[in-house]
Amino acid sequence: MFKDMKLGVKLGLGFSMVALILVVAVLTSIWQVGKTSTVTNRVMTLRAPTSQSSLAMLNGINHSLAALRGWIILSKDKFKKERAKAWNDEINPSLKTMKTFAVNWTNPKNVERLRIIEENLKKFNQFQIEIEDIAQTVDNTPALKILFVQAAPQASILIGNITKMIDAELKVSMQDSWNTYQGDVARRQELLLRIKADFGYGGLIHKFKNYVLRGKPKYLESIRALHLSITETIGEYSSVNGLTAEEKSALAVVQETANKYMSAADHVSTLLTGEDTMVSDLDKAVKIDDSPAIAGFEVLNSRYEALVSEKGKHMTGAVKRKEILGMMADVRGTTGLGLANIRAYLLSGDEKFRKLFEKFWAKNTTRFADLKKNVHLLTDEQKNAFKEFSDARKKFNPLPPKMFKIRGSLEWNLANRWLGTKAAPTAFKIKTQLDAMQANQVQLMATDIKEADRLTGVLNKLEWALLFAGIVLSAVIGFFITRGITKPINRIIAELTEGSSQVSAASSQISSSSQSLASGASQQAASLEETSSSLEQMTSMADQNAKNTREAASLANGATKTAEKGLEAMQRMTESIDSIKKSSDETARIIKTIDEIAFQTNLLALNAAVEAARAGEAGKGFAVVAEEVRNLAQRSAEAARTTSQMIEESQNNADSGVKVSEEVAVSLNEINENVKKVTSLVNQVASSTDEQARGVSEMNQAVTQMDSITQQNAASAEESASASEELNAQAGQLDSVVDDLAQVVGGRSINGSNGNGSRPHLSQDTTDVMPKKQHELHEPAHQAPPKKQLKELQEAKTVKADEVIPMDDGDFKDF
Amino acid sequence: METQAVLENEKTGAMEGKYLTFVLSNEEYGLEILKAKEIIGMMDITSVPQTPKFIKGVINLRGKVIPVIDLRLKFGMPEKEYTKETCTIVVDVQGLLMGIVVDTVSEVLDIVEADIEPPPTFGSNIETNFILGMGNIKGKVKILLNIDKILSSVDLATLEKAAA
Repeated sequence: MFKDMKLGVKLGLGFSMVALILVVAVLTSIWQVGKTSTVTNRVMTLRAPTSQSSLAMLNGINHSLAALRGWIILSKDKFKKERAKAWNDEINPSLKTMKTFAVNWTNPKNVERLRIIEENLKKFNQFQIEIEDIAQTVDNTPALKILFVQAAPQASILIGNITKMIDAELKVSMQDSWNTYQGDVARRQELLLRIKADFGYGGLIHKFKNYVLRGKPKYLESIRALHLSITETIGEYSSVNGLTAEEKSALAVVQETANKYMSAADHVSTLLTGEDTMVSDLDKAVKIDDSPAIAGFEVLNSRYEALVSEKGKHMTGAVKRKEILGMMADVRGTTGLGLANIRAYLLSGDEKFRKLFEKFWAKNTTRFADLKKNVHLLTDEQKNAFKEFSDARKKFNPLPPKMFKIRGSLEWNLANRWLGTKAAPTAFKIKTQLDAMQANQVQLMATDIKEADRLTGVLNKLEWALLFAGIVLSAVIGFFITRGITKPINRIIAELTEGSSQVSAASSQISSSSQSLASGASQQAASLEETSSSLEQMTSMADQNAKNTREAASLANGATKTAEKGLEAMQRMTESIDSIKKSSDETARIIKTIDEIAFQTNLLALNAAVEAARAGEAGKGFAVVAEEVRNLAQRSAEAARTTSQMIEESQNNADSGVKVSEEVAVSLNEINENVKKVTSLVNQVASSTDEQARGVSEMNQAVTQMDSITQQNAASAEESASASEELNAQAGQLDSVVDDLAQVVGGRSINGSNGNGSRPHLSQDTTDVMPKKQHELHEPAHQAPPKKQLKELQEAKTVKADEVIPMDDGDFKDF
Repeated sequence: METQAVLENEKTGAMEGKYLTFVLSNEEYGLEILKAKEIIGMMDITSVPQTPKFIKGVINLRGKVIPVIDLRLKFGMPEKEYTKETCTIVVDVQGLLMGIVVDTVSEVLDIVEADIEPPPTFGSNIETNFILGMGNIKGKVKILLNIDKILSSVDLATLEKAAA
């Protein structure tokens, strides 16, 4: 019944059973885990956070206290910020968190604790705020408050006023300085003397009178110079200190007078140079009134005298002023120092500062009294300032003792006091509550953890039981299903193996036949190669022939050219011989002329002899002369004859030369002819060689064609060989696939290979393959078909292969 | 005989003197120098018609017209082509100037009596009066001609006519 079911159904059934086991196990685990997680959750989300929050709150409280202290001590704003942060980020959130958790708390005592904590936190915050507000304010330290609010303003008034007095004093001293006074007096004296000198005897007026009387230009120049000097000196006088109005007007008058003199002098000069000047004009010009200037001098002089008389007064006044300055300086100094010491004592509380203050203040009181005695010597400004100073001092005096008293008491720094007396105790109360809560939480957490452990133990045991059950059931199911699948598969494997072996046999046959085809084609190719090579040789020889022929033709051409050249030379030679002949002809002509001359001379001589004979006795001498002349004529005739003989000889030679050259010309022509014949023959040879070459190339082409066809044959043989190889490979693959399947099913290979399906290469003898396969297949596999049956099958397959592809070498021969 | 010898001697004695020798057909002849007037080279001969063959014609010698005879033809020798050596000797024959063409003119010889022989006799039929004698100079025989006797009177008359 199990076997009849479909493979899919079998598999489905088995897997669903396994799945069922799995589901049961998982559900149980989930239920147990849920229980455990509740407990751990409680620990995680309740106990631990609560504990954490209380720690956070504690931290926050400590931070806030530290920040407050920092603010108190250093008064930096960051401490305020830190305190606020501690409250906002730590204390308040943790309170809120704990309140949220409080809903779930199991212990009511903790709820009560939380309430107390909350109450006290409110108070704590309030105290902190109070302390923070007062710290760094002046109210924090009442003593300092008095100092800042009351004492310091008064002190500044004191210092201000005394300083005003001192400055005024310095100004007065400066105005009334003895040295300045001295300088002014001296200066006046000097300048006054100079003006007087320039004006008086030997000066401006004197020079003017001289100029009017004598009219010399040098006087005009000196007048101009004196006027300039006077003007300069008056200018300097105007810039002296303490110039009164009378002095100024006096100077102006003097200047005016000097100017009058100057312009008068100029006028006089014009009058003097003019032609129509009368004494009356001059008289008018020189009338100048000196009296204003003289009066002015008096004024200046009296001023100078007055200043000199003040000398004594200035001296005594100066000394007294120095004393007053000293008093004021002391008062100021002690006031300042006293104030500094008050500050130092208030800040540090060191008694030495208090003692120093008292010392300085005593001195201050003394000097103040001294100054009061000399108040009549002060200026109005100084008197006002002194009054204010006195008022302020009265107000200031009682303050230092008050400040010192406060500094001595405990309430000196309120912030610190409140910190110690109010904030700290409250914080302590809160802490106690938090600690109690913390301890409680820890206890509860321990209980919860124990519960969790117990639950996990139970889960563990359950898991083990389920595991064991699952393994057993899966094994049983798996066994039955596997068996149901592998049996049919093995059967299929056997069939596939048979088929692949058949294919292999057939492919080996194809391979062998294509091999023989390929060998035949290669033989053909070899003989074609030989033919081709001999054709190559022939071609090369024909080429050589053609080359030689070309050479011969060129040589023949050369010979023709040479013969032509020879003929040319011959012609030239003939020409030269002709010219020789021509010249010898000419020479012969001349010789003939000479001969004729000789003959004529002979005749002349004979005539002379005749005449001499006729003359008889008288002509005897003449006859001798005639005889000599005849001799001479004969001699020249002789010479002419000899010469003509020689010429004849040379002409003969030339003739023979011409003959020879003609012969040579003939031979050259013969040569030319022969060469032409040779050329034609060579051309014939060349053309025939060309034809030969053409024939050879045609043969070459034919051979190439045959070669290509042979190659094609070889290629096709190759192709069929490769196709059969491919077939073999495919058979191998099939084997390997089958092998895989067998491995999957049976866990071992049927074909004796490691699964890559390589069959022996087809170049080997195919008969080797067969026995091996038979041997392998005889190994016992529990799914293998009966041995005998398989052997028969194999033999039958071998026969079948040959019958299917009936090829033998005979067929290939024709190919 | 003696007379003949004396006659011959007288004759030969009269023949000695200067002779102008010339060649005619490879034979040397001589001519009395006094008879010769002039020797000239060949000139253009103007032939005169109806004259015997040996009379070649006339020439113009410095304005004078002189007849010319060819001695070869007169002596009956074959005619020879005139060369540059052919000369014309102008002779005075009984007051008549005529030229005779000879092959070549050799020289003027002074022949002594001893070298002259009387002309040979070849019998009575052959006339040899135109030969003055046979001169023998250095082994060579020269026929000395009597120019007066060469031309007969008939010839002379013809010559005159020709010259006229």
